[in-house]
Amino acid sequence: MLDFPQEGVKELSRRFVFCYVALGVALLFILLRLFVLQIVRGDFFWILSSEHTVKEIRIPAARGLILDRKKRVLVENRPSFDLAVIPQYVRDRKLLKESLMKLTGISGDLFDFRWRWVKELPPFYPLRIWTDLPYDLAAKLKVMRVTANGLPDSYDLRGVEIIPRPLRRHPSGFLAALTFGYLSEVSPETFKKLQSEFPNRYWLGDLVGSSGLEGFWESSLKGEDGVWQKLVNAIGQEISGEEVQGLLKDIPPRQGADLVLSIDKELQETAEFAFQQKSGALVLLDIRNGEVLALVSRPSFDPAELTTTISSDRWKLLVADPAKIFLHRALQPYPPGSTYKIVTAIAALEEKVIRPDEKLYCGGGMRFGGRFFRCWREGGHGSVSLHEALVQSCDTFFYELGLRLGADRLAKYAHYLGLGEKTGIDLWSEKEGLIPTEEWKKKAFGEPWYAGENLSIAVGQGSVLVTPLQSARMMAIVANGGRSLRPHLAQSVQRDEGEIQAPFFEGEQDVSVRIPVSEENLSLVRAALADVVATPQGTAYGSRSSLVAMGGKTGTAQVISEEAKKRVGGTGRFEDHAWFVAFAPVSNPQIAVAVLVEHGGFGAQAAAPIAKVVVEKFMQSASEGAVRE
Amino acid sequence: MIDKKFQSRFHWPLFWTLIGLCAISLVNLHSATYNLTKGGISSFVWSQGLWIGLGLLLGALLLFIDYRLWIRFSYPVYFVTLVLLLLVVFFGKTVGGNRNWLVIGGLNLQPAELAKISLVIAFARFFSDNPPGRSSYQLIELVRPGIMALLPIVLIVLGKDMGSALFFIFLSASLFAFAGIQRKVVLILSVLLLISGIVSYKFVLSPHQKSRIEAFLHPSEDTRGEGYHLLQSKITVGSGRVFGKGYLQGMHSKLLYLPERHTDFIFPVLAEEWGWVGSFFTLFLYATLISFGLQIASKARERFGIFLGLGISAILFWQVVINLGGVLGLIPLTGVTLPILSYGGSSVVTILIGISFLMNISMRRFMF
Repeated sequence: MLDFPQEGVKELSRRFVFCYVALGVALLFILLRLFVLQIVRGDFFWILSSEHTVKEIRIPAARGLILDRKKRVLVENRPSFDLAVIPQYVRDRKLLKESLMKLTGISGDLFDFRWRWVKELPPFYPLRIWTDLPYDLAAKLKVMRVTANGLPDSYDLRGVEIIPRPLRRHPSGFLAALTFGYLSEVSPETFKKLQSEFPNRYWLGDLVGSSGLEGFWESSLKGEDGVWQKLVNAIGQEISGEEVQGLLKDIPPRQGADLVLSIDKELQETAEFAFQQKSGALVLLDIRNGEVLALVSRPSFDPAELTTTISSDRWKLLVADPAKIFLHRALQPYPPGSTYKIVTAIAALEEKVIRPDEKLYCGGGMRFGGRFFRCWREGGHGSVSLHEALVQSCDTFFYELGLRLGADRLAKYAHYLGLGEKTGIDLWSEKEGLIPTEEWKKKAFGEPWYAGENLSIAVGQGSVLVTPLQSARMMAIVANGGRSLRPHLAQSVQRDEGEIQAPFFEGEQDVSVRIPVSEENLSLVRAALADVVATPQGTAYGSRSSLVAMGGKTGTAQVISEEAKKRVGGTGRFEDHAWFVAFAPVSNPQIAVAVLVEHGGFGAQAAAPIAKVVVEKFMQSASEGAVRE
Repeated sequence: MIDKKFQSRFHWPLFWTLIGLCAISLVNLHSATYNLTKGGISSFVWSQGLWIGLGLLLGALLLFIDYRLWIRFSYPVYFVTLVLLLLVVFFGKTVGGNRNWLVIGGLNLQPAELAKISLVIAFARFFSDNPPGRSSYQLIELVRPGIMALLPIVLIVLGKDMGSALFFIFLSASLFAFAGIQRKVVLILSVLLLISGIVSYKFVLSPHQKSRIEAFLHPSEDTRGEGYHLLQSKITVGSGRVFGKGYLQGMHSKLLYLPERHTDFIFPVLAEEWGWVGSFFTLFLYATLISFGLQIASKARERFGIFLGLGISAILFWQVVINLGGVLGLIPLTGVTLPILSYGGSSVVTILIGISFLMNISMRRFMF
């Protein structure tokens, strides 16, 4: 270490000159900057800081609109005013509270409740005390604030702000309310999360989409708030001038992007109306590209009630409503009943466990494992082929197919047809449903699979669960010749700059992915489904339409077992769910539809007529050239 | 051990400059935290005083050990620091968005602060043991120190403390530059740094950090938050004018317009109350301190001392430049503290140990 010749060290010593220069230059820069800030512009900053303050008024941006496929407004905005308090300017909290109680009639508890967030936030954050203030109160407070100095000492409104804010408005009322979803206020917890994800885009008390499309497309729909700074003196008067304007910001708000849906408003209205007072769900799909043309879930909440702050008691009441108004039924799993026979038929044909011309005998049921599995027609159907069994919905025939196939082979085709998995629609609350396999049962219950269960699942009973949305997609895949697709609601996101394709579908539009099922077998099934509606033996003959030929399948899903029905009676909340899945027109399929009516009884009775009305409406619009330009 | 000769070599000007800064620190911190207590002296001031006392004591004790003994422990110390930084990544406590605190037996430790000293010691050892083959280092010779610099930086980045990471990059770069690098190597390294900068901006930085950079680049587009703090910081500094508003009179910072008034934004508090004159004086003290450091380093007789002295001066220099540049709006805000003036035990003790080393080098210049 010490053997180093001095030269090496000398060489290094010379380099210190650079260090001194660097130090000098850097400090000079800082001193110059200080000179500019403190001496050149010092007076100006001093004015800003002493008895004057820069007040920032945030101008909330309106959310983007939600439009239907023909750009008709489904969800829009309306103006409103909020009463907010900026803690930084509050001199006497108690006096302020009392003043507001006297002037507006606000309850002291509510004030305190809102005030509790004050610790969590910087002092310049406006705390929203009262949202959607009645116009007369907003006007009154505005006037009062201007003449604040003239008020008697008993009032103190320093720190009170009246902030305009656009709120959601649903011109069509309840229409598709669950699909659109609602907004809720950003709480301190979610605020922290949003702040780390999208810095400075959200404020406490802002509204953020928390369900439905409003939630899923939040980042597109949300606008960018504007800011307007003004310089005010101690008594709240605005100061303006050349020098001031240069420093203050004035950024106009930017409205969020509009969401253009594939939904057709008229079809949606027709579909909702067709349900009358019944509860249930309907999905109408374009089988060529997965566009959702109508999506119904009934009953729903009243969106008008959720546009602004709602009292927690009222909220609890709504959530506890036995009608489950927050449940999007099109995305909920139900037993598919006989509509599942479509899957069983395709599986049996593909696996060659039945020939198309093979006939089986139905004598009103089948005895298996010491139990009698009944067919819905007590006298039996006699000798039937697959075609006839589908048309007449013969249970016995499908029991036999179930036995021949087994759970795992059936599950394979169910998955090809998109059952038992999320479809990927642009909504959060979608459920997966369940397609049972032997392995699943072992995992879930630790029990082996019993052959008798094959009979139940072959006719869509037992542990099979599918959503109406999945059923519509299954129908669409059968109808379009076996091409899988992804249902979606948003067609595009539009800003003023022009149209932006919804990023969601990049690469998703591809419907050419063929499932491994032969077109031959699919057309056999389609022909049978056409006869379900077209022939007098068909279960949906009553819902045939003079306007358009539909092909479809009825279904009845048991809510409780037959034995239990005998005990409590099969009506009201124990009545079966009614199903109908269909495609149309038969000759050149364009749409698929799934209808579920909760506790509707037979599919033919309750669900098929609704499908008929909607399909007819679609054909009318199509013939008018309205749906597809 | 401490004889007359030894005492006479005690670098008194350096010592008094340091004491001056410590005094300013306490006085200013009292003002910055004044309104948190209804009058009286806040706990911040007491604990900062305690840390300064501890740091001075520790520094004094270290004077008894010849600094050259540290050359033996340089790598072990460096290794221990790495372990601490690794612990931070896994068990760190998050404060203000940065996960850079380690809690050991009730003490909050910031290993990133201590890492500054250990990295400098390790570099000093490397450059001392491995003089360049020719007049300047070639790429192959810089692989090892390069990895030495990268390890703590990567760990700090993982701990999400971008301010410190940036600081370490500057610190290492200045030591490398001083050690002498061939031109083409400088070019290659610059390109690498640029690429890694772009990559980290795209993939590593949190949205919060990006917003800071965005706010700096486009202050007019930043609607809120970062730009607001910077504006308030500028107002606070500017409103001090020439002579300041007077001690404890800085209402603007008192009104809680500034976040982190006792750490990152400590300087605006001083600038508001003492004006350009006070700011100039404080800057003068820093300049003096750093110049003494450079002077001591340049008079050291062997490479270890030169690089150690230079490294410590560089620590001081970059902290001052990055912190002040940030609060004055010359560069983006990064959250690097101001030496001694910012509140914080780890930071204060680290700086005081560093200055003790400077003193050590200057005292043992002739003891060959």
